[in-house]
Amino acid sequence: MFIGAIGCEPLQLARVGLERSESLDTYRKHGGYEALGKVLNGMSPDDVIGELKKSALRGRGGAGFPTGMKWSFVPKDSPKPKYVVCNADESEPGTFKDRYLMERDPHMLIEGMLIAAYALGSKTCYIYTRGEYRYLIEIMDRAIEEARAAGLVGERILGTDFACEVYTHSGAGAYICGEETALLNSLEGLRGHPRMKPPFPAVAGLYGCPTVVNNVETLTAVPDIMKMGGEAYQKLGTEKSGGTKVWSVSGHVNRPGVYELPMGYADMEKFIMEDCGGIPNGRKLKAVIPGGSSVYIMPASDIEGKNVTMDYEGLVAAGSMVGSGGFIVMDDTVDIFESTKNLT
Amino acid sequence: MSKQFTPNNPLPQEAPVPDEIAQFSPAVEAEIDGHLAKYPVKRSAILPLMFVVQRERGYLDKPGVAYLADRLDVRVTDIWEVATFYSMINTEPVGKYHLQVCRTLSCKIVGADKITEHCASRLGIKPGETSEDGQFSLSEVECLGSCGTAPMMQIGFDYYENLTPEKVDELIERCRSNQLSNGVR
Repeated sequence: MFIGAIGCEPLQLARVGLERSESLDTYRKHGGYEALGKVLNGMSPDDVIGELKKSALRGRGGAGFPTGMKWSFVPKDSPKPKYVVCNADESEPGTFKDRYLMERDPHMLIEGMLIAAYALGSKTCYIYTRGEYRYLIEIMDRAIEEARAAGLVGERILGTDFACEVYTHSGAGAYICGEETALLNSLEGLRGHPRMKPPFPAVAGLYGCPTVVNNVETLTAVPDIMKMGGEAYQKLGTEKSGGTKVWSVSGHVNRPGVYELPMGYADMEKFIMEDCGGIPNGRKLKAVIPGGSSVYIMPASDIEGKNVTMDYEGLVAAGSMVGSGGFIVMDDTVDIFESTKNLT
Repeated sequence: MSKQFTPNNPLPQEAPVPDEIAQFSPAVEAEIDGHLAKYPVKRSAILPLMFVVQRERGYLDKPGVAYLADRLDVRVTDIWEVATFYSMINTEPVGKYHLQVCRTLSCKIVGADKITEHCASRLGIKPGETSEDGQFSLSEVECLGSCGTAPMMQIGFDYYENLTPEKVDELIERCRSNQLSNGVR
C-alpha cells in the first residue's frame, strides 16, 4: 500500500516513512512540539484562532466546516470546564487515513490537541477511537505517557503555566458514533444516539460543557499551521480550501493507499490513472465515490476529460463532495445497484 | 453478536438484579481504577470497563453486569441498555477465535465474499454462528478502516489484511494448533 504525498511536500505525512516514526525522539528531531513551544511562548489564544482562520482549514471529518470558526464559537467567559475531543471513530466506509496518521505519527495528534486546548482554555482532551482500533489506542497511550514523561502533557507544560491532560477512550462498535453528538453521548457512557442541535457542542457538549470535536486529520494539521503561519498554509491549497488533504484510496486501482495532495489538485482523472496506477487488469473506470459512503457517486463520464479539481469547491461543482476523503474506485465489473445496496 | 431489543422483544422497564456479582483480582481492580480516573463522571468508563469484564469472563455475563452496575453506581438496566447498543459487546458467549470479515464496499469489490465463504466452509459454520466446540465464531462486519489493504478480517482485536484463501487456511490452521493469539486484550 502506498503512503505519501503527490504534488506537494508532505506535511501530515512528512514523518510516516521514518524509522520509529511513532517515537517522541523521531518527532522532536523533525520539528515536533516546536509549534507548541511557539504558541505557549508568545501567542495568545486569540492569535491561535486568528491564524487558524487565515489558514482556511476546514474540518476533515466530512462536513468541511471552517475549523477556526468552530473554535471561535466556544464562549470564552463560560465558568464551566471546556473540553477538546478528537473524533478518531473513522467509521465512514472507505476511510482509513486517520488510522495511519495515529499509527505512524501519534505525537502530531497530541501536539495538535494541546494547541487546541490552549486556544480554547481547556485542561482535558479525549481521543475517542473506534473500538476496533484497539492497537491504535495502545499506540496513543504509549505516546501520551512518553509525552508526560517529557513534560509535554500534565502540569506546567514546557515550563509554562499551561496544564492539560490527554486521555484515550474506546468506542465499542457503532458507525453512528462518528457523528459528533452521538460520540459525545457515547463518551458520557450512554447509547450512541445523536442529539438535537442546537445547542451545538461548542456551547453545550461533553457533560453539558463547551466542547470542540475535531477529526484526527483536522487536529494534526494544526501544528504545521502554527509553525508556518495561517496564510502560508492556505496558499498550499485554494482560497477556500486551505492546505493539503489526506485521501484514502481503495477499490480497483493498482496502487491503493493514503495520498496527501494539495487542495485543488488537478485533476481527478490523472490522479486515478497515473498517481494511483490506473485500473487493474486493463479494465475501464466505471465510477468513483470520492469522499466516503455518504457522498454522491460519480460516473466515469463526470470525471474523464472534465478536469475535476480535488478540493471542496471542485468536487461540489462536479456533483459530489470531499466528505471524509474516502476515495473508492470501481471498474466496469461492478454492479452499481449492488454496490449502493452494500452501503445502505 | 449482542442480542438486540426491538419493539417485539422489548427491554423490560427494570432489568432483574442478578443473584451473583463478579469478582476480579487486585490487578484487574487497579486497571479499572485507572479507567475511572480519566473521567469526572464515573459512567463515562462504561465501555472501557465492559471490555475488561468481557476479557476476564469471556463475555458480558449477568454477574459481570451486576458488577458494573455496582462499580459505576447505575442501574442494572442502564448497563444492559448500553451493552445492547454496541456491536463489540458480547452479551452471549462467543468462540475463542472470533473471525470478523469486513463485508463493506472496498473489501466487497476485491473479494470479501470469497473470504467469508472460504472461512465458512473451512469452519463448518455460517456467519453469525459459533462452532460446537466453542473454538470459532464467524461474523460479517462493517468497514474496519482497512480498505487500502482489502480484503481483511479481524480476529479479536488483531487485523489480518490483503487476505487470500491460502492465507485464511494458514490462519485457521494456526488457530487450531493454538499458535495464534485470539486477539482478546
